[in-house]
Amino acid sequence: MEPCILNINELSKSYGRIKAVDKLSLEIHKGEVFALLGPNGSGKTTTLGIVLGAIDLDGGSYQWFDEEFNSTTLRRIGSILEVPLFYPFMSATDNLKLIADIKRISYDGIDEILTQVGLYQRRGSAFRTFSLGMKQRLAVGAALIGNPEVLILDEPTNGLDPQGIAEIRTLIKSIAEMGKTIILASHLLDEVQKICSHVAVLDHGKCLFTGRVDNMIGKTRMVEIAADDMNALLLELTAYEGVMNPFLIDGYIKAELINGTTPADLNNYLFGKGLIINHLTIEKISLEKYFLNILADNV
Amino acid sequence: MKYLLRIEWRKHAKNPIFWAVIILYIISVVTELFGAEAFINRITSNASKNSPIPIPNLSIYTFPDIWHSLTYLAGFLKPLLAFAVILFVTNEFSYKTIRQHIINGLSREEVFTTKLIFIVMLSFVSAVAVSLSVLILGLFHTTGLQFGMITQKSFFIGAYFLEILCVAGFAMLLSIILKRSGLTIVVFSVYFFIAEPVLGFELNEDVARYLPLKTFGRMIDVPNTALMKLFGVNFREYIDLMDVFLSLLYLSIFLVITYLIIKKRDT
Ligand SMILES: Nc1ncnc2c1ncn2[C@@H]1O[C@H](COP(=O)(O)OP(=O)(O)OP(=O)(O)O)[C@@H](O)[C@H]1O
Ligand SMILES: [Mg+2]
Repeated sequence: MEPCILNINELSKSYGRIKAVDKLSLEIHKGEVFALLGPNGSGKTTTLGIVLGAIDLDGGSYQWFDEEFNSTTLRRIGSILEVPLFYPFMSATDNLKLIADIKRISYDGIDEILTQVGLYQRRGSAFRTFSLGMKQRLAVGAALIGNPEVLILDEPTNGLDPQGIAEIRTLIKSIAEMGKTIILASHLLDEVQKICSHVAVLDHGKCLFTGRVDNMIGKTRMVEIAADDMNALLLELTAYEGVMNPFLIDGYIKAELINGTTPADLNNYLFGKGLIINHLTIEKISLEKYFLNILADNV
Repeated sequence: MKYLLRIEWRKHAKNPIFWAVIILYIISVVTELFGAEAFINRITSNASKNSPIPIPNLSIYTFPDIWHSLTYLAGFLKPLLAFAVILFVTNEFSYKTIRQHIINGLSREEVFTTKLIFIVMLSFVSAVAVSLSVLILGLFHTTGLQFGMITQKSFFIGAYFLEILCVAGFAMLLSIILKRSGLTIVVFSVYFFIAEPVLGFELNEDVARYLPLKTFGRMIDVPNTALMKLFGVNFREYIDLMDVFLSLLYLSIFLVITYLIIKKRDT
């Protein structure tokens, strides 16, 4: 197992009666592209704000890099929290230089970063003259300063045009390929599906699911199946370990295909039990459907 | 420390509003100090028309007393300095740049220190502007000048620096508590121009003298002029160490509360 980058243990934070984060526990390892996925108000930003030291916690604990939190911890992390925060009258370059000053590193990489996020031409313009998408790009650029080991990106594609979204996603992927750890908050399933390796689904500050993104998709393949003797089929499927939760609907039986089970396995098993299948389809539920299912189960 | 200075400097150096405020403030101070004598003499000459005895024109620009008179006069512009402090400290909250600094790895202690550096620098700039005015005006107006006369009462500039630093510290505390510039300016002004004067009037003198602004202002007493002497009033020409001590105490309290708020509050 790769070393642990961030360990969150029973983290809690309330705003009055609202539990923004509710006993949340997570582990993020080196090299993962980890998504915090959840609807608006599910506590993504609050969680990130806490582990970045901007928000005080009510309970629980967190640990970066398996070591004591000290003044250099945050300088190893590049982050965007919610909206881009810069001095409006300062140019893009000067704003980035200020961040380099805070992180105590040289200004060498700044031009390259501005190029990466497509702002090199506008590097001399005051931040307040930027469009929303340009501000967001600058925020992504700011997170890249000093080549940090970990990137925290809270909705990095917020406000970007389709091309900008594609560019930032490509950028995130290429950074991930360099072996960096990325923590991404998003409510866009599609985004998570495209760029993340791991996911934690949050709702009302609680973690509903955590694991690999491909497991999450793999786990949710549904089979639709029919045989001449439907009752026997249901019985056998209930006994079979390769599928989960079989149920009868519209003259078919539907079940979740457990990871690793192939349709051929299923067919062989049923054939072995003397059942002849006359219908078998596999339906891949998208992450979106799965995500909605998870949330629906918890209402 | 040098590192924090650079950070604070970078924030302001490229801000045209910062320079506009600083230059306006310096112009106000210099105009006030250079115009004061003519202004006072015009009033006294008007007054002497109706006066049975002639009131002599006075010079407030002669060494060594010029240190006293000009630091006293410059003290009237404290609210302008306070407004500048409020404007730039609350900006950090309205731009939410404090949050950005913290997540980038500036500790809360360092955030506090940059703000402290800022108010010390502003007060220092003000003290320098007053000192230069003193030197220029004094050199032109003092007859029979000797070097000893120039430095003789220069300790007033130290008291002036402390006085405005205390007011700046108060303005910074209010800014940190209230976070919004307009609101902070209103609250500061109400306290400065209304609440404390009214309190000072209502309360028993033994208590009223310990009000913060009164304490800071008392360090530099009204300068004695020929006019005052004529009326037989005699103000204090030295600085009472008790006032210095109380001012430092107030300043420390302001700074400690500011620090604790920055340390504790979610950004
Ligand atoms: N400063 C605050 N004061 C009061 N309530 C807050 C504050 N910040 C967050 N909350 C509440 O905490 C909950 C979680 O908010 P948070 O910003 O963490 O959600 P999020 O998952 O980031 O949502 P989004 O997708 O909209 O960014 C919400 O119910 C929100 O109203
Ligand atoms: Mg959010």
